[in-house]
Amino acid sequence: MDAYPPKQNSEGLPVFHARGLSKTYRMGEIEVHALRDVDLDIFEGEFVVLLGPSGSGKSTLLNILGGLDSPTSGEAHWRDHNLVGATDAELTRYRREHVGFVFQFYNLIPSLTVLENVALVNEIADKPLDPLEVLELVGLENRIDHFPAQLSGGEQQRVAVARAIVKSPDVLLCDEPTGALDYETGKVVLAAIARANERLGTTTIIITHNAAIAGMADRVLRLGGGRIVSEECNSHRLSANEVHW
Amino acid sequence: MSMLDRKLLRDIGAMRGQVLSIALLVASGVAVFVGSVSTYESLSSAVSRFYETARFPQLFVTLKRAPLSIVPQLNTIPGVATIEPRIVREVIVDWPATSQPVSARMVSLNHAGDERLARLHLRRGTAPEPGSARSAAVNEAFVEANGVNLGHEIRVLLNGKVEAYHVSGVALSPEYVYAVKPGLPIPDDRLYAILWVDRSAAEAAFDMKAAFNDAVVSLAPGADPKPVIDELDRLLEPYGSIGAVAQRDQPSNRFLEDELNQQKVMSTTIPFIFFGVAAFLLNSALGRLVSAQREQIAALKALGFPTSALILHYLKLVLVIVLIGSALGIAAGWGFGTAMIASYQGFFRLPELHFGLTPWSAMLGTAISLTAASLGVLTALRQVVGLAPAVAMRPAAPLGFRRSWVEALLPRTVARSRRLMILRNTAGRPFRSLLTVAGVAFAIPMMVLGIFWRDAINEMIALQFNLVERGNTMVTFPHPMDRSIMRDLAREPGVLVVEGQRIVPVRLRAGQRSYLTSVIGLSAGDQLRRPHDTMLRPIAATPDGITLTRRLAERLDVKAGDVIAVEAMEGRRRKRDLPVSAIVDESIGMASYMEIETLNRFTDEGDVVSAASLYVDQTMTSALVRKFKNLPTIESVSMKAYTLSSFMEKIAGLVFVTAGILAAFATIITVGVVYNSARISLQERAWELASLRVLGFTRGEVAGILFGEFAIEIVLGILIGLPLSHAVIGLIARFHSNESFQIPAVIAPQTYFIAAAVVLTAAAVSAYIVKGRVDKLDLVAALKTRE
Repeated sequence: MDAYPPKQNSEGLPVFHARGLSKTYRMGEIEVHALRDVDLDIFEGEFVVLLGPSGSGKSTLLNILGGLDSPTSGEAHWRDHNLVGATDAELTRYRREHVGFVFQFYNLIPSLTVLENVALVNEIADKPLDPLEVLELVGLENRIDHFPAQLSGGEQQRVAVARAIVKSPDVLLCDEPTGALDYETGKVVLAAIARANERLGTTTIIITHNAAIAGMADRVLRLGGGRIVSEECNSHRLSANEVHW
Repeated sequence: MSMLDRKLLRDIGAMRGQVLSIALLVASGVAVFVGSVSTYESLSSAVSRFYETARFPQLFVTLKRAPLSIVPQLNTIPGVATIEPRIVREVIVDWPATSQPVSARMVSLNHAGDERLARLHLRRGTAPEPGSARSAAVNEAFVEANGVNLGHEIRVLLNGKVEAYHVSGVALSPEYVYAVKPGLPIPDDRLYAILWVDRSAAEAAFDMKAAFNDAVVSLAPGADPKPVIDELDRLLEPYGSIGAVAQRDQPSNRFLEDELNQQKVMSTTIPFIFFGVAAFLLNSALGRLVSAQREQIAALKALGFPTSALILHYLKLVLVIVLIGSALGIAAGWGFGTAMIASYQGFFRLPELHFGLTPWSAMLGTAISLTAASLGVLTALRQVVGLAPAVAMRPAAPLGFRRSWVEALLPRTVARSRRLMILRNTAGRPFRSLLTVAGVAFAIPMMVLGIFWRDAINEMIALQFNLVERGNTMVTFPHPMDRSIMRDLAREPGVLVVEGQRIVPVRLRAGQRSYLTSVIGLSAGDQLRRPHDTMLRPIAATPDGITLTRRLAERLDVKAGDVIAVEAMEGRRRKRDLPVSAIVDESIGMASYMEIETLNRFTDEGDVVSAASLYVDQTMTSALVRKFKNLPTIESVSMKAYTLSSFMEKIAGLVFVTAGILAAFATIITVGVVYNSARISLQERAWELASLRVLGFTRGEVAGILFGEFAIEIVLGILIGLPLSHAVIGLIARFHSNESFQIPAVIAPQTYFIAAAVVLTAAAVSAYIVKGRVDKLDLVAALKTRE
């Protein structure tokens, strides 16, 4: 089994290091193999796209990397954190200190304004950024006092991106960030994610079934049937404006 | 079984916690209603049955001495049906087993207990046969309190001689359902007996051959008692009658009626407060439960189910919950009523006092719950069913959150995002928040209602025995004595203070109203009996008027300054008009006061006293009381501490049962409201809370956000509940006050504290149960499609 280290820009040790990851669910009589023996290394500052159709295992992989789920077998580390067999409290601390999440459905807190949604995460972060600056980064400096219900989907997702990066996480995990958005809005959100990756150097992993996004990544891992079926490295990353679907 | 019914069963299974907590709300309303109504009905029917079978008289006459030959003349008074002349005397019992003096009322029997009026109900043995000179039937309360058996000997002091009577039977009488010694506010079964002897024995003992000093009368059906009383008084006045009284003023019956009225008030007010609360909560809780199923309802509608089928489906849910709740409630009401009746058994001596469930109360209770619950469900359904299925299938439109004015008051450092979430969720769902606030606000008075009795009794005792009656020992004399006896008493070892009193039975009249009571004559500087005005300032009896207790003034409908007619019911039976000089507050009884010299001038008996209040060195009391027991000049001795403790023991059972029941229900209300609200909130906000967990918030932090909202609502509820308790207690105390006792509406700070603590604990436990589910939030689901 080949591991999938980046072929070109590998520098030092990987931040994510996984070997032999497998995940099996039981659904009644049927055993579903969501992941089969996956090996993976992701390096600091990398922009990685996990591409695959639904059922390919990409969400399961992201959940394990994000400390939301544990594999049936195999090992997964984030730096010196063992993500397998960690307690709920340890995983919570891992997410709190190191991970930023962007959800497909934004998951903003409806009772908080844009600024407050971002500031919410600041309350549990060690080295947070200024929420206003982050909102400027995603282009929402003029909407800070609006409630989520008063925003468009794209705007809500940009708030979610701002909320994810305000604590300056080490890794940004995005689950179908454009899945619920139209083309134009989706591109604005991708631009915001890319900008965070570039400016803050945040290791970024996006899972998507939208192959067009692949061009923006340093590295693209295609998943199918619970395995990584191929890996591509882009020598030139496209900007959000340059991708089309 | 239809698929909808199958869904119903599974829904009930899945929501069992909520179903149970709502059912418990129904149960508590039904239990208090069924329990109180049935207790009232059981007590009331036991009394009526006994009064009927034992032929409880309608009029009661006490006189000095009249020849039996006058009885046929009395029988001719229009309206009189039966008249039973008797010999009734207070006697002293030689009872070495207690250090306290024991006294008894000896009552003559004309027909071996099977009297034409006030017939005895024998528990054991027989009543003395005609001609039997040395046997007596004894009241059950005394027998039980002192462990007396058939054949035991009871020794009675008669004219300086000791006469022994054998106990031939243990009996109950409708006249002594509640046997309280004359002049004492509260009964003490250990120290007071009723002895029924044959007429021949009484004639010999009191030298009353062919005479009587007491008569009980029954009236012809429909006869007006008033003219009969007037005629009896007129005919018997020469024989020293102190005036006939109607049933209402017969001491045992008065107390019993007061208690029944109280129970009646309780069976109508408290359950309805309770029912109101339970119905409101039921309505809201079920409404929320239905709202939470809005998408399911819409989907069913979209599939073509008619609205009527859906309404029926949810009404079945209501029916199941209400039936479970009612069944539990009826069972709990049964237990509650049985406990209440058991505690009444020590108070009221009735031959057949058993708890019986009143069927209509169970049906009405269930019907009221069903109505309230159905209304709640129908209201919620109307909102959902009225929407187009396509609209209803989407989650409800997000609430229009906005900044609330409260936030502007918070300092910036406090206005952190999490606190804002809590604040805006509370303010953004005002009606929902209201449910929790109202539930808690009502639970507090329930709790206070359960435990305030202790405060009220303490206050009554403090007022009556620490402010008004400050002596620790009270003695009465068999007849008015010269004041010089005070000097003798003062010389007794241990007596620190002694003050003479003149107690005269009087009839007070104001217009059409009249009342038979006693007037207590006090000296100007008396310290041991000090009436207090309504501001609780001690006042002295004035030489030119009569001072009335507030309740007595209300009964006569007079106020200070009004003039009332005072008629002495003994001695020369003088009459005089006197102004009401002051109104005083007392918690027990309905006494009146006069300055002793004015009173003695009025009765024209010289400087006499008929009772004395003493303050005795605590260590010397027993020895002194033992000595007093054997003095012929002393008719009775009572010790405050002893009387009080015996009363408290009796009342403790009732208070304990009431407090326990109400506390249980307050807990159920709190748990029902908090648990349901928390469950539904969790259901609605699971996605939001799981998102926060994904973002790195700990279980504790997320629970804090969910429960912070409830904390605000609970604190608000408690803040509203405390003054609400005050209002409820004011009302209840007013309803429960009667001529025997005036219940003060006082709530001690610790009562408030206990109430708040119990409610807080119940809320915390409910929150803790729900927290288990917060800990198990599905984080992965938060990333997926919103349901």
